[in-house]
Amino acid sequence: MNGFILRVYDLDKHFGGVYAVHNCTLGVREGTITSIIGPNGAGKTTLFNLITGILQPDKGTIRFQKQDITALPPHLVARAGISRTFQQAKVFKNMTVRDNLRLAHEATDAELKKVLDQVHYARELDTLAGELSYGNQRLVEIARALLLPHSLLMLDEPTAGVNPKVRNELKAILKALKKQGKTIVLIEHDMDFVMSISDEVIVLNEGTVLTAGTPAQVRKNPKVLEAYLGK
Amino acid sequence: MAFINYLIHLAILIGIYAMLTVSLNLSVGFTGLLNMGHVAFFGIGAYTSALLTLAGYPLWVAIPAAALVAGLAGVMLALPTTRLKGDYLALATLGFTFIMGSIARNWTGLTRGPLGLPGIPKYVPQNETLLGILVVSVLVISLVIWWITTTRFGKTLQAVRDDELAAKMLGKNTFGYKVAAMGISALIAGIAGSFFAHYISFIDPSIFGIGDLILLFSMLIVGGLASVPGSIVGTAIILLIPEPLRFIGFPSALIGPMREMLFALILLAILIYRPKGIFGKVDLQ
Repeated sequence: MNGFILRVYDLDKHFGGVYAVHNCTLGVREGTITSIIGPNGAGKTTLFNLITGILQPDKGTIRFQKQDITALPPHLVARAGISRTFQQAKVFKNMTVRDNLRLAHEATDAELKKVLDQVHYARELDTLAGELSYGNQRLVEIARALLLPHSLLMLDEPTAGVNPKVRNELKAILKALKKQGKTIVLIEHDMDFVMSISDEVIVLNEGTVLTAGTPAQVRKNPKVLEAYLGK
Repeated sequence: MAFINYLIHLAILIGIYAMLTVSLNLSVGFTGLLNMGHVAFFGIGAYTSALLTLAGYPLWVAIPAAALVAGLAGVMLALPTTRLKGDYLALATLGFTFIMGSIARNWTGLTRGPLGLPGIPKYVPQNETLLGILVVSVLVISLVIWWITTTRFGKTLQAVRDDELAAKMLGKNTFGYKVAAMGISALIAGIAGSFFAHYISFIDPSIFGIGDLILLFSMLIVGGLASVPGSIVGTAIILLIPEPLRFIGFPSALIGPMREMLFALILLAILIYRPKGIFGKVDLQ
């Protein structure tokens, strides 16, 4: 079994009197696809923001490739090797697709097109990112995250707001990336999507890990069945 | 001959303000910092250059000093304020402009306060020569700013403007980029201030006035955010359009308010019919 690339220990984050993340401990194994699921407000995006330095935890430790990244600001977390996307696609709207991608990694047009082909993006490099459909903006954001030199890719609801065709493309993309040895963590609400691609599923509830295991194990967990899968 | 001198005077003012607007565009249009401190940098450059030359220093010392002192002021202002966003940044930088104006009014030992500094030596005796120097300077500065915006550094500034958090997640230390943008922007404003002081030969604390700030933002908005040619065209439009009022024969008491009304109408027309400005690439937000 692969070793852990990311470990989170006893993480706490509260806003006012409400804990968004509470006593959260989990690990992500290298070369796997790990999905984080849970109802709205379970603390999934807060957990992503804590790991990537956008928020600072009240308590706990985050270790990435054996380095303590708990107090690092976002740009240093990115330089440490974590690349992420956001729940709402964040592209630089007044810049071309080419410039969006080159900010992640200085590359030739041929190299950029190779990555764009990988995510099944079919428009021109000169198009302004703000003029793209939401689905295409999502693809550009993923391509940009892929171009940034990284060891861990974190995707926040990659299928949100995209059509079924793009969703199927994303599934194929993530499987291909895993084959290349990439480690991926994603937050996702689409259970079919999660169960079909994940090696491990972590279920969050009220900021705490309810359970974790393979998709089959999570499916059989009575608490999960009752609370989240509705079966 | 008087009319030609008048046209040269207008062209010189357009040159000085174009330099100022192009540099403002670097911080506001390209980096997205709502920087209301720009006239303060202009004033700091003007006072630095004027005080040094009045103290007997040569122009080749005074002009770079004006640029450096203004640039340093830009960096010093950016260090505590660029963590602020939008309106908060605007208020903090506007406060800096007021503070600089207050210092110029009250530090009478240095600035002579409201009496101002008269007798500032000219760069060159002939205005035609000054215009030539100014045209070359505006061209060089515009090309430098345009070149900056095409570099990786400049693209990062634009990324900060569009989405700072996403830029951070690409490993960019956005704070450093914002400070650098403010510093460069202020440095050029300092040069424009030096040109202004030595052209008019007199400066007083009104140089830090909010009127010039509104004028500058009008030029920026009309020309368009994130466009170097737009800044020059916007400056020319805002400075030239009210000029015919001088020749229509209105009472002088009416000309001032009518100029303000014209600016308001131009801004309204731009906002309604061309929200990005004439050459702008970014929506006004």
